[in-house]
Amino acid sequence: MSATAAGGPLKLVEPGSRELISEGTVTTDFRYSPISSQGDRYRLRISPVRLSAVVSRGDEGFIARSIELGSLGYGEHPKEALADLIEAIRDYLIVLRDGDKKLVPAVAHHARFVELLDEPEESWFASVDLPGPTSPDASDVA
Amino acid sequence: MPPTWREYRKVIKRNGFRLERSAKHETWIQYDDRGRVRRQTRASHGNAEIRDPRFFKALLKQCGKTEERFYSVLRKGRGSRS
Repeated sequence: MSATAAGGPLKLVEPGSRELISEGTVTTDFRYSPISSQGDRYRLRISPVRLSAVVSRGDEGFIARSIELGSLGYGEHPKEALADLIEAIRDYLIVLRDGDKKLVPAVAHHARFVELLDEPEESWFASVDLPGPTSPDASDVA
Repeated sequence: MPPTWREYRKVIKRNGFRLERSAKHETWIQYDDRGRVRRQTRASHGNAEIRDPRFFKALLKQCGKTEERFYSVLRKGRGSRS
């Protein structure tokens, strides 16, 4: 299984992992170790399943939405909306895990994201689209 | 006047959602007739207004309601799954 992380430069630390570096993006089998320009090192586990989020402007704040789960977060700032989204996702996944829930086919794929609960939140999202000056309204992405 | 979280909870409850978890927010789940998860939505505690219309619109989409249907259910005091 593979995961993709943006950023860089990166150094792979998992034995046997493949190193595919292109424009700051690395594809690895499981783990990677980013190295900042200042030389700091840290490790981050990456879940093999990851989410995408879109943050869009509301009328008074920002709305964060998980594409895969449909979960919603809200905040005065994009970071607050994302943090709120993470709370909403965690609560939903805990319900699925602890209740051993069955899901209708339309949302059956949600079950595979339960394993995110064992991964650091920093690695939950493969991508986060932040609002720009010409970003679509929340109603367009919700 | 913007809807309140209490009104939102009232509508989703009338439409088959069940409160499954109460932490920072509430997690509500709608099940089908076979007990399978059909939809999820979240609600905030308390009775504050959902002041941002776009966020309210996103919530409506999440729980499978139109704004018209939302207020219809709220007024009638009963609803049906959609």
